[in-house]
Amino acid sequence: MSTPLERRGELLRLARVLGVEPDELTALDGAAVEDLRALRHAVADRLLERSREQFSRAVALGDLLPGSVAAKLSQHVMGPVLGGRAAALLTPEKAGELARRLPADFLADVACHVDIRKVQPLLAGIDRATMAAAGAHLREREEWVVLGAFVGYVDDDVVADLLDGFDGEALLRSGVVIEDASRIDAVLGMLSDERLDGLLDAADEHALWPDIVSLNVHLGDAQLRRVTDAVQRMSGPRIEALAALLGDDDELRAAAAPIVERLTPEFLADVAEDVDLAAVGPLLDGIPVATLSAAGAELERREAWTLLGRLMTVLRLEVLAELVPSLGDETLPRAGATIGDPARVDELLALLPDERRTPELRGPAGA
Amino acid sequence: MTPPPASTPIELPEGIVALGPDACSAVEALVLAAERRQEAEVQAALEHGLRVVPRPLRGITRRVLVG
Repeated sequence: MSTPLERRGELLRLARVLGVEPDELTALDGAAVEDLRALRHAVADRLLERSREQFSRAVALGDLLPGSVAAKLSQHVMGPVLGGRAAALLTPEKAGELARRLPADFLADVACHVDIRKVQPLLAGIDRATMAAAGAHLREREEWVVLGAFVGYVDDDVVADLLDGFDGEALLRSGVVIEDASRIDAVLGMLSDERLDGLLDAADEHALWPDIVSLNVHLGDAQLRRVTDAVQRMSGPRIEALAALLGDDDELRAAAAPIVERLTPEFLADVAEDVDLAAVGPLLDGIPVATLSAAGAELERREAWTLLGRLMTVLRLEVLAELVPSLGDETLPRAGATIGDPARVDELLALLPDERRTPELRGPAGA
Repeated sequence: MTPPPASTPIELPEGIVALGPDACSAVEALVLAAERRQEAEVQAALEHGLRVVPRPLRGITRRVLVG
């Protein structure tokens, strides 16, 4: 599932390689993200080959000149576009030396134009402080696509430095365009619970739920549990808004399934108090029967009769068939009395075995 | 990857070829323009480079850059 942000990110990368604006790529409307990526790689390879001889000469010159002069040539003569392309031919040692001598804002410019596949071996030669300084410029310029590309190719400690100053929006916007999706799980693992909460806040505030939910497919069990916990810390209105989105989008609902399946009975019991249960139906639909039934049992344990009554008005019969027989004889009349719908109470009672279906059990609820 | 039309400077991914001949022509034009732009920029950089390098180093610079 590719999202609009992912697609926009790939179009921006391709546009940069071609030296045009993204809106000049309308001919590629309808192309899949993976095809856009393959095209970008092919173009980058082509451009490097076309000028390989000249780039090689420039790199050879850099080896002969004093470091300060080589850096000056890189910045003022080659510039960020050619410099970014020629960087593919540097040795890690030379790349590290140049990076130390060049201003961080210029390195950020170069980062926008390098072919990250080609310069990956060089990144190890660049010290963390230099990388972090260039990353700070990219963050300031909101170059999420560039940052998202680098995250896939630099060491964890450098990523941690880069992410250190990111707020929730920055994390989200760079996270959803991480080029190497296999890194998403590790990157998420670097974030504290508080920052994970900030990520979800940003998704809600900037209407980016589809983008963040699409990341689920790249997460392992541990990070899925952490994201689930973060969802469970969200406020009632945010839960309702997320449920409404899931209700409108089958693909999104499928992508959210790993989270929805992990929601706990305790959370559901808590949230029953804060949300309009009728409005979170799409969320409830994806929750395993046993979890929903356990949530009902939790409300019984808390003697939260009104909430249990509300829950029993929205649950599917399949869930109620497991929940209702497990409730105590005193629970149904109390919770049933809050439902205010005799027909629904009758449906609930019908789920009980005959010997438990007594007039007393119907109580005021069934009257 | 699908073999490109004769004049296409790169092999277009199948998904791009599937967009049709107009899309392929547009991509080809963009790639050719990018190549021309890069060649002009490289040429300008090499010429400018000679002026930026300190005078005592210009001889070696010229030999390395121009051959």
